[in-house]
Amino acid sequence: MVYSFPEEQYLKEKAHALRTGLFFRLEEFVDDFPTGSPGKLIDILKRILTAASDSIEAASDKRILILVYNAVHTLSEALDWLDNAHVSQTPRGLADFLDRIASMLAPSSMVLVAPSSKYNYSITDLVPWLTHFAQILVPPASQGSILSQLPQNLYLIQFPRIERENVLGHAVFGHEFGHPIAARFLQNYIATTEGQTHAHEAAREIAVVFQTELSALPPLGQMKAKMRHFQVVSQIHKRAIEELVSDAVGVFLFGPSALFALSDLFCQTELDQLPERGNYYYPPSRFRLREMHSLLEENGHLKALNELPGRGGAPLVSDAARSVLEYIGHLIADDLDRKNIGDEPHVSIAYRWVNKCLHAGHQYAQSEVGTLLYTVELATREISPLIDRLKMELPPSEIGIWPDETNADWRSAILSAWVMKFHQATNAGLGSSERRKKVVDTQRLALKGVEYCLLRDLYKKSLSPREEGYK
Amino acid sequence: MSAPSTVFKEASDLNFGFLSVKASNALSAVLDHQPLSDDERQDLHRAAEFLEDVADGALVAIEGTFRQGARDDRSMDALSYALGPIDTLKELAQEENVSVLFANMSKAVHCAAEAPTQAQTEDMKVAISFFDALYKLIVRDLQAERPMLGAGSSTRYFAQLA
Repeated sequence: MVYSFPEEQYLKEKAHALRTGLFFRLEEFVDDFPTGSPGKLIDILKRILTAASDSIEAASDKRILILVYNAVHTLSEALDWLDNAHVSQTPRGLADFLDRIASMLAPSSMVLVAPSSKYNYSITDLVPWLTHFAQILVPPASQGSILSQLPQNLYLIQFPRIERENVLGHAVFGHEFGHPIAARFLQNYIATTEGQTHAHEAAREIAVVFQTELSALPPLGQMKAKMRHFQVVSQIHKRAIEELVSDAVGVFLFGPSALFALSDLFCQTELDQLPERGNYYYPPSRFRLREMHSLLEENGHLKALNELPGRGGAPLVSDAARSVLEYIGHLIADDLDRKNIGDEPHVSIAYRWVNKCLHAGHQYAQSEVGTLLYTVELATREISPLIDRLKMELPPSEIGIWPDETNADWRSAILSAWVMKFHQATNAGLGSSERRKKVVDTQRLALKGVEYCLLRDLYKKSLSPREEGYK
Repeated sequence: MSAPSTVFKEASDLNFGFLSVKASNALSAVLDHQPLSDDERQDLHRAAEFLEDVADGALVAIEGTFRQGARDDRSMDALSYALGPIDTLKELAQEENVSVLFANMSKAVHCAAEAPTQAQTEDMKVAISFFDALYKLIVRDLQAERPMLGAGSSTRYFAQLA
């Protein structure tokens, strides 16, 4: 049927309306975020949207315009991030320690912290994301000027808003910072002869394990079935390595606090769920706790916590440390997760593959963490005196007595508060509301402690050249 | 804990969606003996690389072997995008070796960019069908991810209860 309505022109106008709609909503944030990482994100997005005008005009296919609509819908997610990126929603201590880790692990990176209504901790590098959209929406001739404005990394860091005050739980970010490291490990590993041999062995195992099913199919059916089985196995393997190597980074950055933070998250879940498409192929939680526990045992952290001295009226606190380690030891002694893994063909092939490369992944993680490693010597030196400060309701930020006090490591502030929290949360001598109040107080003190530690570090660095000058 | 990011998946989907439409249009232009612009030639080179990645991914999945020079980290991702169209296309169902089929398509698409008159017509036609099917599946997924009306699956659930 012939019609006179200029559909193409109308659809282009719709694309422009969406594009400019997002542009002006972003413009509304400019006064709130004139500089810094939010300002950078706004600037890049506005440049992409402005340059997209030419691509929309050049589009001669309705399908391109449908993709443009979807691209603008996806980009508009940034409005939610910016809505939540205000200082009032993010504790200073959290922003500071995330910045500290980011600047050490990835110099020249920028960090955008935005709590979320979703119960999810995540770190996403927005640079590849923005690059994708510049390549999709901007004509090739204009892409260079936009891509040159991008920082090396722009990490969007999200955490559950209801956990905002729980600085102890934020040790989970050690794991999150591990994801780029795990991705690099996987990329390197699969290109090695060893990595390719392991993939080859997995493909051969698939042919053996699914032989009955495959042999009943015609040649093309066999090929498709093999591809599907391998796709599932390699996804399970990849996701396991991504999570387990990231867990290792968390352990190397935060020591036992990484295990405690993950245990605290996992106590809200079933521990033995098998990896499957519906759960993004996450490894079973119990398996992850066991691997982290094993790393902490290897580097001596567990022995040190078990031998925490009960001094100055703090024996009950050191008892709590031993008690929680005993509890976690009990959790990981149960091997239902391993049994489930062995019973499911795709998962068992994938996890045999995981076992072949996980140790190398751990070594890679430790070398990437480098000087940021949280050592057992540091923990042993600092935890007891910091617990003493918490008992006196002081922030766990320094060791010793003025004028001979020294600044504590901010990760020790978190670990000492974890031990204190276990003592308070399980103290049968206190009423329920009193326990909760004490735990909240400890979390607040820990947050202050982290802030003080990082501020003193900053002051020390900034003032020391002046002090030298007066000598 | 961070689930693999939805916004990243969408960006990747969109990337392959745009590539599919542009490659399909450029190949149609070649079949119609129309000249290609520099941007269209560039699109065809990217499309040929993607098809080569699919061929490499299929080779690993079927035989567990890696082609020398394969982009290992990209080939499995490319294969995961290709599995949907492989199932839906009758043209592909006639072939007995999926890896060879995609390698041939890649060669034809590459040739279409460099020397259009020498490109294999049948392989280009199969590539057009493949890219058109890929576009449709990608848009279906994108729209399922972000329904524009109602509350998605929860609406249907409550409707069932009522």
